[in-house]
Amino acid sequence: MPRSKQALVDGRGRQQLLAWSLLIVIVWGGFLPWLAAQPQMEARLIWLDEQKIDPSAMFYTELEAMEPILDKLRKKERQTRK
Amino acid sequence: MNPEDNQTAHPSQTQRPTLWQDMRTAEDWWAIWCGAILLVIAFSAVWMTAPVDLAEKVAVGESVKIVSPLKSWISLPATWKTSPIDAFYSPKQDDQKGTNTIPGILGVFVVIGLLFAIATWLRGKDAGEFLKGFPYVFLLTTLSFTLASQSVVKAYNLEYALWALLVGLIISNTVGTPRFLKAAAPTEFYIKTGLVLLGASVLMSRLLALGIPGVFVAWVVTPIVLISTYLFGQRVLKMESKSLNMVISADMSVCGVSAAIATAAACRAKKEELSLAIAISLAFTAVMMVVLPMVISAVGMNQVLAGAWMGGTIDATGAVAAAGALVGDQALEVAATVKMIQNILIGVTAFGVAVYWVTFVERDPQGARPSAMEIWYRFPKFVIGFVLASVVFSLIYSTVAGGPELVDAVIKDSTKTWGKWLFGLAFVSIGLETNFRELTPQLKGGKPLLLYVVGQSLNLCLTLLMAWLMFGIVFKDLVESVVP
Repeated sequence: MPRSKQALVDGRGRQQLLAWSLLIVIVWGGFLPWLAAQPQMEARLIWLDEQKIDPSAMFYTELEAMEPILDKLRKKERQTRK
Repeated sequence: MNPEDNQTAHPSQTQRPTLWQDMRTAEDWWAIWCGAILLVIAFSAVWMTAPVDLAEKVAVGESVKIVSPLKSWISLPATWKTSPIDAFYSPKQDDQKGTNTIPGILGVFVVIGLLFAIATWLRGKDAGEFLKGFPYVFLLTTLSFTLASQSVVKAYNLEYALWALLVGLIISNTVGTPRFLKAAAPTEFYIKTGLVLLGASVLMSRLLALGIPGVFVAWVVTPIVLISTYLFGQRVLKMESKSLNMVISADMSVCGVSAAIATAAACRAKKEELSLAIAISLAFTAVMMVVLPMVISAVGMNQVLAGAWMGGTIDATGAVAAAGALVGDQALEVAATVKMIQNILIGVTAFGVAVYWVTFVERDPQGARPSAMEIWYRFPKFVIGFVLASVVFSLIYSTVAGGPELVDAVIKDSTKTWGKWLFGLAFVSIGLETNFRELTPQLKGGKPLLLYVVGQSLNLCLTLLMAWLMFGIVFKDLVESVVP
């Protein structure tokens, strides 16, 4: 690619990177914190917190809500072994 | 997963390395060694600091909580609501304890960076190049985890895999990925090592958590849906990529992103295929976790049946719990337990897919069925590490006094977080190596979407039928005693 064309592509790439970075800053720095403070959303977040549920957990070991269930299971297993 | 990086171009038998050479240089074997080193470190730390009288305490029924001494050195950015700084440090306030995840993040950086640099060097590759790029890839992964840990993002099941891909994609599709970063982005190596660590969480004794009804819902329906969806993709939709067909079928029928990662590695799917399967799964999960509880409430379904249905159909574990809790405590317990039993199916799925792939898919259509040696040669060896980790930790869990307490501390305080970092690094690496244009042919004709919709519809019907039969009719009394 000729040098002038390459410089144009590089310049456009940097502009796009800047635009994406700006978008991330606006969404995560402004919009999502604002959304988290809205009464309905805040209530949902508090409820999830109280239930010890992380909806983004990928595996059962990442879920705090599993702990009482696993504790119960463990006790039952030990009783069965006795 | 990328055929170019792996063993799909099989050399003739005379050119093949010996097993010993393979064990010293092949990525799959090194994933096993690295995974094993991390598991041994994690277990030794817990074993050496566990109470001396652990067996006695457990024998008298005392509740014992073991904390790994490594815990404070292994962290992820914490959940934050208003300021991303809270993901790393927040001072103690009246009603909230303070957090400081910086030492834990640095600890992970040092451990993974050193381990992979040494492994790269021992495999005869340029460890210096790896070390030059690793801090940047790690920094991008930290940024991804920070984006993923915003509380609203978490509440909608938008998992870190999505943001890690996005961060990588932004760089590769704007300024392009610099050469020095590529050396620190061994995607498959990160994924396979992460999967070996995940193997330790696949505890076989938990399979019977809900007795026979749970096994029927999670282990009978799931394989039927997986195989039917795969066949539908091949015979009806005539999908060109068998690996994409398999990854979508597995993530939809088993348990979302984690199943997609394991299956993609087992059938050597392309990176963009894994990305696409995950994006589809996350989009549908976000909808299903809201819609299913609404449908259940509207029809007045009982909680046990509702829990079994949601646990067997919603892809992601966290989303299952959120949907279950919306219906009620009993639904949450059944849903989360069914999903846990499905989580354990990952090992069997990865093993089965790997065997099927090397035996039938990769064989020469005109040639004879490959010999046992040929199958062994082509078999993705990291699966052995995954299964071994599962067997060893299942045995420790079931046979050692205080085994459950020891294993839980190992998983919760160390291997779970190391594994997440490895998958995060892998998804950033995938993004760094993917061009948006490579994703377009995969979407041709909307076949992947159609495959997911048809497969999930079958899943919803079959799971509901099986859950009703097992939980509501055949084993009704047994279920009532397990989930009072």
